[in-house]
Amino acid sequence: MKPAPFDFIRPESVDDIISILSHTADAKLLAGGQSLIAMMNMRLARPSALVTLHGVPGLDAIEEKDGAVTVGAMVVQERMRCLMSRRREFGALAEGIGYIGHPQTRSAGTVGGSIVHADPSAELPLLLQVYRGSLETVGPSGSRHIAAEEFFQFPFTTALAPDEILVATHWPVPTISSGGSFREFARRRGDFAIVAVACHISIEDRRLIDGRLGAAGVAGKAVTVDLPPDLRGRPLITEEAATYWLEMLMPLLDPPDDLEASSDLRRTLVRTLSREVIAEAWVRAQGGTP
Amino acid sequence: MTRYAKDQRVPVTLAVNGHEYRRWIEPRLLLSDFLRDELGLTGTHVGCEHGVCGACTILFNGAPVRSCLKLAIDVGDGQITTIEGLVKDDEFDAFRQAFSQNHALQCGFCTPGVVVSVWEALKRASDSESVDWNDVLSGHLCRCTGYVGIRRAIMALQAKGGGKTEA
Amino acid sequence: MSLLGQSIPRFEDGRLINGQGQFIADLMPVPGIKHVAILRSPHAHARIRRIDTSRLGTVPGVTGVITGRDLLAVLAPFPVGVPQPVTYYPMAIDRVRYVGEPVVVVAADSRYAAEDALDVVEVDYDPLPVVSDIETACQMPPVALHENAPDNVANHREFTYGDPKTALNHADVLIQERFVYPRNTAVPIETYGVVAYYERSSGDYTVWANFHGPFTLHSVMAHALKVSTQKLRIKTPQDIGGSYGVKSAVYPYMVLLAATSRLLGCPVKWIEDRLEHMKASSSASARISYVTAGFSRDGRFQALHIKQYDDVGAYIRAPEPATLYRVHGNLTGAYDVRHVHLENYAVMTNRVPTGLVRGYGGPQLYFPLERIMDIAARRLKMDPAALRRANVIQPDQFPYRTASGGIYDSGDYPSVLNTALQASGYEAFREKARNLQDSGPVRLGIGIAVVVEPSGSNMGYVTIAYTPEERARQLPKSGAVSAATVAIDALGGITVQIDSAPEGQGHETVVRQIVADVLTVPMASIRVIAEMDTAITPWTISSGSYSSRFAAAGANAVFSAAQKVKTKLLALAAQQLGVDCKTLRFEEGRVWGAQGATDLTVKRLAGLTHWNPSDLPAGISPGVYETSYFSLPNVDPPTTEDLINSSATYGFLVDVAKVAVNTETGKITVLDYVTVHDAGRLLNPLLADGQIHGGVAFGLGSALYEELRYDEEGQLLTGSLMDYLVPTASEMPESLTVLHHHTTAPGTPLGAKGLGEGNVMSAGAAIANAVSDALGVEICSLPLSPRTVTESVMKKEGRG
Repeated sequence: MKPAPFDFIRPESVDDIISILSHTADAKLLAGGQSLIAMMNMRLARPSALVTLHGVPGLDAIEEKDGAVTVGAMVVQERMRCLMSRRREFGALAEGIGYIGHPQTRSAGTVGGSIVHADPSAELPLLLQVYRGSLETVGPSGSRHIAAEEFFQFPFTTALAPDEILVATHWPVPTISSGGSFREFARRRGDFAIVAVACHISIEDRRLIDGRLGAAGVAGKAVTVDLPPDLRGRPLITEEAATYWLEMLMPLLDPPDDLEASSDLRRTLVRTLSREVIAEAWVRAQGGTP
Repeated sequence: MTRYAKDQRVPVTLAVNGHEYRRWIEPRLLLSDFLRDELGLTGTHVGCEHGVCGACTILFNGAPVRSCLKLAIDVGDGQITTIEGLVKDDEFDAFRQAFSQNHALQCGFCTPGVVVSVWEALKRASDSESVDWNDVLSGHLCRCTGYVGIRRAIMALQAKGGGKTEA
Repeated sequence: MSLLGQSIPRFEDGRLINGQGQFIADLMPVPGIKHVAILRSPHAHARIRRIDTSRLGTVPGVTGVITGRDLLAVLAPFPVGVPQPVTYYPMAIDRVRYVGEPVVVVAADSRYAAEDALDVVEVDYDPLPVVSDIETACQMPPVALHENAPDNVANHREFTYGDPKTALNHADVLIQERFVYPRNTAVPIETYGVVAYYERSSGDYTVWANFHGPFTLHSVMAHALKVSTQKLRIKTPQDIGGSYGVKSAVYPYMVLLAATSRLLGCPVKWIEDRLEHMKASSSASARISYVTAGFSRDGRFQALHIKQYDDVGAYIRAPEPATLYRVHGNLTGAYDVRHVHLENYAVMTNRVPTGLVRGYGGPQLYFPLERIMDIAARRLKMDPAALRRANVIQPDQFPYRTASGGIYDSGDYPSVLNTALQASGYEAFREKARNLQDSGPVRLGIGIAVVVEPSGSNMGYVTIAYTPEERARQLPKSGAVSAATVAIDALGGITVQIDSAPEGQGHETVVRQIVADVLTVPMASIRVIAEMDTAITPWTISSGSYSSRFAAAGANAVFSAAQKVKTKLLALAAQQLGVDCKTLRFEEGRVWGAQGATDLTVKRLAGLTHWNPSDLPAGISPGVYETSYFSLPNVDPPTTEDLINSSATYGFLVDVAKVAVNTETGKITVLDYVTVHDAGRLLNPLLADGQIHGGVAFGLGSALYEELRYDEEGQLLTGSLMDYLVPTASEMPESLTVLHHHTTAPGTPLGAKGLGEGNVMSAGAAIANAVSDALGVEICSLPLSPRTVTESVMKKEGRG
């Protein structure tokens, strides 16, 4: 299990990277390497050239401005988790990142790497959609901002052009009266999710004003549904209301049937976990810690 | 921008356990193989080469990472600590005792990786960070102990003042 | 106070914690070693049409290449313990029979270069039909894997003990069920590793490998290499990174690397990678069992009928079909059943050949047997604990001869069962579980498994695969022997050489406890050499670490060698002091007589034998170097009636598992696990408990997570550690209690029995019983995934 030979390129800037991508067919960007190097060790991935993103300036900052937290593509997942664990309004975020692998992989695995990999069961693509985030990419014709919904397309396929790179993700900061919750069902701790579910809820004057519920592992990409308009302004989420909300998610599902779980089991898991995350997000939005 | 051809030997300087080592390597050399074959630091064990078993875990700038998923050429000026580096620390004796007295190892193959992770997590715990020990330990496969002795060793180390969370 | 019996931390630990263990991958024992990579078959069954290695010259650093046909010049097929052996070489010749079977070996300057070389080797295959299902393979074979086994059956035997036909006819209640035990494997974190060196001038082979029982298959390897045994020297490294049985199947690779070294003219090294290990090392045999059990209305277990089909993979490989026979003597478990019929089939399929995995043969037997007890209890409307209590062998029946010939040496089964039930709060939990029914999706369940744990295998048990008539034409085989040497040098340094090649069990520490007790010296004055060298280690056919044999056999060999040293030194002391030997004893490393301490120490006495041998009295030889061969009692060859005491001693354990099962999501949580063992005297309780903890984790994995799953084309679907799910710390039971009883093993001086495998035999059954109890279904296959749990709930509710 040793990688096949490859040229190794150390760019000095984002422009360098774009130029390489434009001129080198089959070049692969190396971020945290937690999926790519494993695939290369198995010789299932054999890029002719590997372009490291380590050391390229401007890719590993976390900063907050204009109402959003901007997370550089090369920020490692564990760093983001630690930072977000102190932000109550991003309740589902630190919790969700905590389900990615293990501390030993999150300390090397990057936020951008996981997003671009676009595994349909992965946590960060789901979270970015639930928090209505966007992505900042740079290509030969300049930079683009892409909404998360449009970025993720099919399993392991995104809107990123072959000569474009992801430089950052933007996470709009919810109102302080927000709560979020994340749950995942996997065979073992740290395994790829069979089903993951996240919910975000904002309240104002003790009334529901906004929210988004999403699930991963149940379609070609994570699916989300906003708080139904007829639930807005309500003073609480009853079990019936939660069911009403989550049932709007169900038609979006196209769950796979595999060794681990049947399609039906995945649907059941979405229902069970959705009830839990909605209830918990609601309690947290009110400032409680259930 | 620098480009190294696949069949080229590239000079690298790596900071490992406080020393700088200069070697000529192929671009594709894994850090785990660099440590073992180039530096003779065979305490870093290789168990799966796809990032799951945890035997090759080392500290990279103080954080635990899989050395089988890192390229030696891509380490840059990152500081690497292997089990051989931890052993030189004054506090390691207490660590060794806790692992031995609680029978936290049998065949010893996963042990250096486990020790590296537990060492780092205990440091965090002593900095008053809350540590989820299931999270830390699930990053390592041990086939001998059922993890019982490892948890006991962690509890013993914490009882000696190594942090606030429970194993 | 005796050191034996104390919880003494291990001497091995320091080097291992420091990362200074010496494992096979760390060794470069000879200069000029080349690194090997192996090209493996992508097909489960195919003819090899063409192998083209012509482009190897384009890859830098390649030393040479070997194909299967090249091996014919230096190898013979491996011998196998069945009447009609199949032709098995360590690499495919003209035909591949499982995915991952070696096809081409390349040696190069580095493993990287060797893998590059494999990329340019081209092999053309003509695919053949694939035999994947065990029963189809032998009942309606689509193709024969080997010419001399047209029905793919490598071994078939039938055994009748007592009068099972009549007993079953007269039984009030018959329980009949089909059980499936899956293919799973051991997953040591260290993979296989081999270094081989052929010295041309002498024709001698030296092979280093992390094989924990080199002598058991030394003769098999020497036969394959077509050399006499002294020309094959096998060495094990100081440390082995776990085996749990599976590393005994490294031996085909030892032969392959030895042949490669000879053919290429250089020493070669191969460290198996994880994908190779999962795909092509070895695994436990999958088994389909048809069990019929007859009970009287009041719950008396009267007769047992088992028909079992083992999937032994593409080639029956030594020591298979031993999975079918390792537990032959304890076929009826803890129960007093006199009428037994058994029919065994070893069936070949297009999967990797099988071999030892912790518990060897045990889980395949006890999963059906202990499930049958629960199914019977439900049918008889009895409590499962009460049914077991009514049928276990009673203390006054020991030594107990089982229907199939096992001799259970000692035990108190009812007491151990009671301890386990009390420790788990069995009755209270049953009540709680009943009250929870129909309130929400979570159900509680509790399950028991009762296991007689064999240890110290009788080397003759495998021959029961032959009929008595066939055996009569062979020389008989028997015994469970171990050897050890205790030596003292001229300055009093003590070295002990053992033959167990441990891989984490702590033998170096227990040996110190034993020798320090006998010679009354500090443990620190003793060095233990546990690595083996077949050319210089005192060995026995059965040496090595398997069948939990150290406590019963190895430890007693050490004790007996230390006694020899003590006897010699006291005889010398008696001569020096001019007194009767019987008046002398050792204390604090010094000889004491009737008048108290003398100035004769162990060091001084040993020194006399080295420095001034000419003054030694008659009958006392120079030097102190005492080897002892210890033989366990009652391990005779099979009788003409097919009775076999397959193991030297039999421990006992009872497990009680409590689970919570979510009927909607299929999630199983093991809330609490109690295991009570009776392994006789514990030599080191700290290490004994460590073995049990590991065994429980292993058994839990087999119950809930682990399976080598294949598709119909014979492709492995769980071939990485992301798919083959080894339990992590988070999957362990929320609470785990280990308790002990101590019924001494009567046949040995130290009175200890093995205990490392029992929970692998019991946990699958205990957890399946608990889940069956929770759901009101009968679980008949493992592992229990959320998918299988929800499907069985749906089936019960008529929705499936």
